[in-house]
Amino acid sequence: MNLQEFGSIREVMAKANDKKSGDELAGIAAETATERMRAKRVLSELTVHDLFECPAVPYEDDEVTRIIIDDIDKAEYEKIKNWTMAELREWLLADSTTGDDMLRAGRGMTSEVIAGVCKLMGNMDLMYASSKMHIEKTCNTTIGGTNVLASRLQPNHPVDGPGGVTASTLEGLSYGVGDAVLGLNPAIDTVDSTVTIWNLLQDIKHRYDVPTQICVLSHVTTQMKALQTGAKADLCFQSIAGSEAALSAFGVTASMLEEARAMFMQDGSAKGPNVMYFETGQGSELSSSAHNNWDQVTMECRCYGLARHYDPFLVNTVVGFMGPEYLYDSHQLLRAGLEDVFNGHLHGLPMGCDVCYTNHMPTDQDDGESLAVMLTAAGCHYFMGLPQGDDIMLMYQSTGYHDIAALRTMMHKRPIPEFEKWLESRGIWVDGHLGPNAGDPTRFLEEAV
Amino acid sequence: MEEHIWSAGFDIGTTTTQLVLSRLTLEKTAGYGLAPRVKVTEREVRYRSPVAFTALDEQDAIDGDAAVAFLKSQYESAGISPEDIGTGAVIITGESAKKRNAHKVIEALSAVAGDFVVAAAGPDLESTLAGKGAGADDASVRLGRSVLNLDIGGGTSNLCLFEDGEEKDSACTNIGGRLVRVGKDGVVQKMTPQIEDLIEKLGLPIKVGEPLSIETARQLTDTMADILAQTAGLKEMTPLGKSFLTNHGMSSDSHPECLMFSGGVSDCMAHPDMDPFTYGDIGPLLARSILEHPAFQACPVVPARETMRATVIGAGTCSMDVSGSTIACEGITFPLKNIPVLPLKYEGEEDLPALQGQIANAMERYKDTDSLNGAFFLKGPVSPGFREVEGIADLLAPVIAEKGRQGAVFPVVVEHDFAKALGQSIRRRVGREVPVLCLDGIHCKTGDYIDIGAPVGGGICVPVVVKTLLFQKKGDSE
Amino acid sequence: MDFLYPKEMEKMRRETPARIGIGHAGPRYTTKAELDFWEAQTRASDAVQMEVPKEVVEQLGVFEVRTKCKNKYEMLTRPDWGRLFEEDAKKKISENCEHHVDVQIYFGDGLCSPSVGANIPDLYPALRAELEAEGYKVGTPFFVRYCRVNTARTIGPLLDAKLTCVLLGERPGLVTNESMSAYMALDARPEMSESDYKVVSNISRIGMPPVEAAAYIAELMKGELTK
Repeated sequence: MNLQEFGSIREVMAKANDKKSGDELAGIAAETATERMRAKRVLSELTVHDLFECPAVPYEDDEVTRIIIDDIDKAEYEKIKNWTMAELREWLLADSTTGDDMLRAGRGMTSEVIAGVCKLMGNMDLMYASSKMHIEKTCNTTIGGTNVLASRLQPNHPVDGPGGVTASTLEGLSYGVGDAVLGLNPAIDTVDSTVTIWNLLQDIKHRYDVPTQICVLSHVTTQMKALQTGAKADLCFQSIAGSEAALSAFGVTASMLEEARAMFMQDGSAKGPNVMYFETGQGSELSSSAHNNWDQVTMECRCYGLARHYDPFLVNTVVGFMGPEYLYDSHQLLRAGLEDVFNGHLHGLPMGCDVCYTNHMPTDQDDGESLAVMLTAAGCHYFMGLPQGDDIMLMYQSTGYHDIAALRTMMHKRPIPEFEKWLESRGIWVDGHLGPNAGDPTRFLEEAV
Repeated sequence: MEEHIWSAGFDIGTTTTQLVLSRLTLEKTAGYGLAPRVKVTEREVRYRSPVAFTALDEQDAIDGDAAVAFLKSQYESAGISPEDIGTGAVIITGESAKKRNAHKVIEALSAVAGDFVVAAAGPDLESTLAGKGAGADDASVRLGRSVLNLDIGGGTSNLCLFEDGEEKDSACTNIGGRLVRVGKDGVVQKMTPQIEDLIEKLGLPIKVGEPLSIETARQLTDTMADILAQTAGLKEMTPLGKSFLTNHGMSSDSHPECLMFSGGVSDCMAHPDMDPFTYGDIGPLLARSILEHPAFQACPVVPARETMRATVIGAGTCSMDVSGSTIACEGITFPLKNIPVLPLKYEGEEDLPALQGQIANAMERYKDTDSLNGAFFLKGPVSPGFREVEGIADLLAPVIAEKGRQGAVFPVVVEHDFAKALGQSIRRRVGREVPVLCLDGIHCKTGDYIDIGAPVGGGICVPVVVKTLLFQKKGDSE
Repeated sequence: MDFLYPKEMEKMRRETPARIGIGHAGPRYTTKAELDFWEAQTRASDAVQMEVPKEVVEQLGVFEVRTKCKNKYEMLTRPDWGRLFEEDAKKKISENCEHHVDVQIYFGDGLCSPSVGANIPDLYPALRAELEAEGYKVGTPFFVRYCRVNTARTIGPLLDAKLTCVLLGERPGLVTNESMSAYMALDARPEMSESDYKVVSNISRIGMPPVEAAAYIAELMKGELTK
C-alpha cells in the first residue's frame, strides 16, 4: 500500500472520488485521471477499521460525527472491521449476500466506510448492490414494498396560491402521483403559509380519501411553530448537511431535529412510527465552507449517517439542484445520483431521488430521464412528480407526473398498494398502466357539480 | 397573511327587505423577491336578517325612516356597528314606482350603514348581483356552459347571463308574483296598471273586488311565463314581451344553455302543490306556469345556491374587489365615492397621438356628470415602455393638476400592471400639492361609476367597487 | 384530450403557470407538450450560455468591465471568481464613476444574458428618473460581464455608495428567459451575506413589467435610504 503518495486518508478519499466540479472548486480533486486511479487502488487496500478511525470531522468537534459513531452497532462492526474495502465491495456484490445481510452489516459501518466502498464501485455495481436492499418504512402508509415505486407530488407555486397548488395537486393525483407524500416547497417560509398549505393538503387528502401523507417543506422551526397553532401535518421536513457547521448554516442542530421528531410523533397527524423527511445534496457542505476539506461524496454520506438516527420515512438527494459548480454535467449528475441512492440504502434509509437539473448546467431532460430509469433499476424508493417536470417556483426541472407512470409501467413497478387501490377505484390506474380517467383533474370536481 | 373586511348587503325590494352581513377574506400572498399581492379569497355570509316586509309611506313609496330603523336594529342584533363595516351595498330593487324617492332613502341609509357602503340602484346591477348571489357565475365555470339566472321577485324579474364566470348579458322585465294581490277569500284586491292592460288584452274576467278562479289566474300566469321565456331568449320576442321590458332586453344572439332560478317565485317552484293563494298573490301560480311552459321545460335547470336571498347576498358579498397591488397614492382622503369613469381608448403606443383628443372628449363628458371628481380609465399595454408611460403622463398631468388645484381628485385607473409607474410619472409632473391616485387591475367602461376605499393589505392596494349605474341623470324618467 | 369539465380545466390553468391539463400519449407527453418543453428548456439553456453582445452594452451607453472570470465556463464553475474583480477592472470603475453617491446602480449578465437588453432600457431610466425627482444622487451606471450578486460587496465600498443595487439576469426557468432581479444593499460591505440584500425578482415583460418594477424598486429604495 502506498498511502505515502497521498499523505492522508482524507486525501485518498478525495482523490479516489469520481470527477466532480465541486471537489475541483474545493481544490481537493485528483489532478489527473491516472492520479484518481492510483487513489482508488490505495483506497481498495484500506480496511473498514482505517476509515472508521478517520471521521471527516473529529468526534470532539462535531455532533454529526458523534451521532454517526454512537449509533454504530458494535457487534456488526467487529465482524467486518478487518475487511479491506476491496473485500467489502465483493461481499456486498456476492450472490450469497442477501439484502438483509447488507443492511445488518451497514449498521456497523460509519458514513466514511460506506463512502469509501462506493468510490470503488462502477455505475452498475452501485445499481446492482442498491437494488438488493429492501427497506420498508411506515408513516400513514408503508413505502419500500416489493416492486413499489412511489412518488412525491410537488405542487409548487410562485406565491403558494391556494388555487394553483390545488390545481397542480389534482393534476398529479390524476396521473397516480403522490403516494410517498403530497409535499410543497413554500415560496415564503412563514408559519402562516405553512399552516395554510397544511390545511389545504389535509383537505384534499380527506375530501378524496387519499391514502398518503402530507408535508410542507418549510424550515423545521417554522413547522414546529405551525404545529403549536394546532394545525397538523404527517411529516416533518428538513434539509440536512454532513457536518455540525454545515447544519448550523441551515439553522439546524441535532437536538432541534430530535425535538421536532418528538413533537410530530405526539401532535402530528401521522400514524407513524416514521415521521421525518430529509433532503440532502452533494455540495451543500462546501457551499457553506463547512466541508472540512473532505470530498462531497463523503460529506453527503454523512447526511445519511445523521438521517438514520431519526428513522425517517423519506430521504432524498436533490441531486442536480446545487448547480454546475458542484456537479457540472450529466456524467457527474448520473454518477452522483447512483452514489447517493446506494449510500443511503446501505445506511438503511428509504432513499428517493429528486432527479433534477438547473438551466445553467449543460444537461437536459433526457439526462434526467436516463438517470430515473437507472435509479428505478437500483430500487430507488421514490421520485418527484411535477407538472411536466417544470418547477415554476424553484426554477429547475425534475421528473414529471408522466415519468412516474412510464417508469412504473415500463419497469413493472406499482404504486404503494393502498394508493394503487385508490387509483384503481377512480379509474386512474388499471392493470399496471394509466386508466381511462388518467390525466383529467376535473374528474375530482365531479362531487362538487 | 389574512385580513378581513365586513361587508353589508341591504336589499329593499318591492315586497321584502333583507340584510346580510358577510366577511370577506383578503389574502396577501408573497414569494421570494416578489411584490406582495392581495386577493379576495373568500366571501362568507355571517349574518342573515329575517325577511321583513318593505314598509311603505302614505304615497306608497319606500319609507326611509322605517328602512333606517330596520338597518339599525339588524346591526344591533348582529352585534356590529357601522364603523366595523368596511364595504357593501345598499340596493333598492323591484318596481320603479316605489323607487321614486330612492335617492333620498339611500342617502339616509348611507349615513348610518357605514363609511364605504355603496348606494346603488338600477336594474342591470340588480340582475348582476342576483346572479352572483345565486351562484350562476360559478356554475357557468363549473359546467362549462352559459347559465342564465332568473331572479323572479314580486314586481320584476332580473335576468343575468353568465359565461365562463363572466357576465355576458342582462335584462329586466315587469313580471313578478305580486302583480295581482288576492285576499284569503280569493278576492282580487289590487293590480298594477300594466297587468290590468294585459288582462284586458287577453279578455280575462279578472277584476278588483271579484273572486279569482285558479283556472282564470293560470291563463294570466301562463302568458306571464311566456313573456319571461321571451325575455330569457328561449323564444322569439313579441311586441307584448317587449312592452314589459324595464329598460332593455338581452341581445338577440344570447341563448342560455342552462337556467337557474332565484327570488321569491323560485321558492314556489320547489313546492308546486302549495295552496295557490298562500301568499295572497299569484306567485305560486306563476311558478306552476313556468314549470309547465314548454320553452322552460326544454332547458336544463341548475339549482341556485341562494334563492330568496340571492340579490341581498350578491349585494353583500360581490360588490367589492381589490385593485392590483402596486398603486401610487399621495394626498388622498378616502373613501372616494361615486366618481364617474371617463374611459380613454389607449391600448398601446399607436394610440398615443390620439390621446390628447380622447382626454378632451372625456372632459366634455365629465362636464355633463355634475361630479367634482372624475376617474380616467385606460386599458394600456401589458408592459409599456418608459417613454410611453412618460408620454401618457405628459398628457394626463395637466388635467389632473388643474382639477387638483380646484380641489378635485382625478384618479387614473389602468387595467394592466403599471399603475405605480404611471402614478410616479404623473406625480413628477404635478408636484406634491396635487393629490395623485393611480391603480391597476380594474376594468371599467363608459357609464360606470367607481368607489375607492382606504388602502388595505398594509397599504399596497385599495378596495374598489365599479358600478354599472348609480342613479340615472337628472331629467331622466325615474 | 377531452376533460370532463373543460371550463374547469381552463380555470385551473389560469390559477398556475404550471404545465397542467396537458393530456398524455400513453404514459408519455403529447408531441406538442414535448416540443413546447424542449423549446423552452433550450431557450433557457441558451440564455445562460450566450454572451451579452457588445452592441447591447453600447446602446445602453455604459462602459463595461468583467469579473475575475474569463469565460462562461468559469462563470458557471467558479462562483467565487464571479464576485471579484482584478485590479485593473476596479481602477476602471473607480476612474469612470462618480463617488460618494446615494444610489449606485449597475447591470450584470448573471445567468441570463437576454434579460439585459430586454429590461434595462425601460427599468433603469424609470428608476433613475424617480430617484432623482426625490432628490437622490444616482451614480454612474456600468455593465459587469460574468457578474454575480456579491460584486456589490466590492462596488459599494469602492464608490462609497449609500445604497448599492445590481440589476442582474436571473437563472432562467422555463416560463421566460428574460427575467431579471434587482439586489439592493444598504452600506454594502465585503463581509455581507446573501440575506442582507433586498430582492425584487421576476422582472420581465410577462412577470412584473420593467417600468412597474422600477417604480416599486424606487419606493423600496426610498424606504431603505430613510431608515
